[in-house]
Amino acid sequence: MTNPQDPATPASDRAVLALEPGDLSGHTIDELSDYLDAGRLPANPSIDQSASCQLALDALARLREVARTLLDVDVRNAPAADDNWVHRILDNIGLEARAGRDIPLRHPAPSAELVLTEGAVRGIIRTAGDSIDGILIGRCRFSGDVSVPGEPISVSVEASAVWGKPIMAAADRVRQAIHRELQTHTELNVTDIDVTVHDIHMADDAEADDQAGVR
Amino acid sequence: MTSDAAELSERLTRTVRAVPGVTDVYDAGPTIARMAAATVNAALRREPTGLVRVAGGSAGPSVAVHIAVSEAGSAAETCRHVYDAVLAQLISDGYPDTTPVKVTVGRIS
Repeated sequence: MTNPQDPATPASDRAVLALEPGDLSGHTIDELSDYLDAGRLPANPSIDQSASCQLALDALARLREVARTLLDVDVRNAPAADDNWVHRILDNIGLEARAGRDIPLRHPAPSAELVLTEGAVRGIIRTAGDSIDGILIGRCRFSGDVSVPGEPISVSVEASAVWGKPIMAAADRVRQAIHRELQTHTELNVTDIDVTVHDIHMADDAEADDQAGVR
Repeated sequence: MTSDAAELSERLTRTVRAVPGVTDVYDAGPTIARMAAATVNAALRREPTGLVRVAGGSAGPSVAVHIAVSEAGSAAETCRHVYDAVLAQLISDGYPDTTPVKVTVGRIS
């Protein structure tokens, strides 16, 4: 059965399945995008007081910053540029900002239940990946049951990259950055991190020339 | 929520906010209740104060905390510190050290 909550659900299915109102505290990605446009004013407490909305806003702000540059370049270099990659990332931001499963943390007291939400952990993965120059994280997925302590977990991320950047080196840096963040903040038993670059975007000539020395 | 529970919630919210590494405290209630409370607080132009959920039961209260933490430190460690601070406040208020406490980190930034 298709489950919109399951990140493994194909994108074509997710696109036609509405998120539950609680996923983004009753808000949509479009509303959050408008809120960002308006400078988060007037303040909306139901957005400001929602962890999932804040995660989505963080990701939208980063996406907007990178996309502005990339789309400008795409438009200059290819008038019919396909901007579906932006929509794919927007879809994933909405899906992945939801709280999702509880990821447990150890504590000796039996009455203590300490957890990170799956959305919070996806958020640090996205931030770590986006911090690498020329990379923008699209989809992020866990294989393995993150709600079971010690369970072997594989992390798969899909990314967009700028043409002219050394992709293999960038993917390695993404992998290292994600590993470092997961080690710092979680107790997940991460066995491997796969980075797949799906979209390549044109960098402008000047920037490409600047990068020539490191290729 | 009774007035005792509401006062305890406010005390615990202040306790949680004071833990280093905590950057925000979210309403830990159910989604619909959260949305309603946010709307009321906005209409009354007041800051939310009792964001820690205190649920009563025959076996005593249980506590739920939902927070954002700084990425500058370990989220796991901050989460444990929050639990320790909440438990210390509960014990100080006369509740048993076996009071169930759930701490959820919803955002790391």
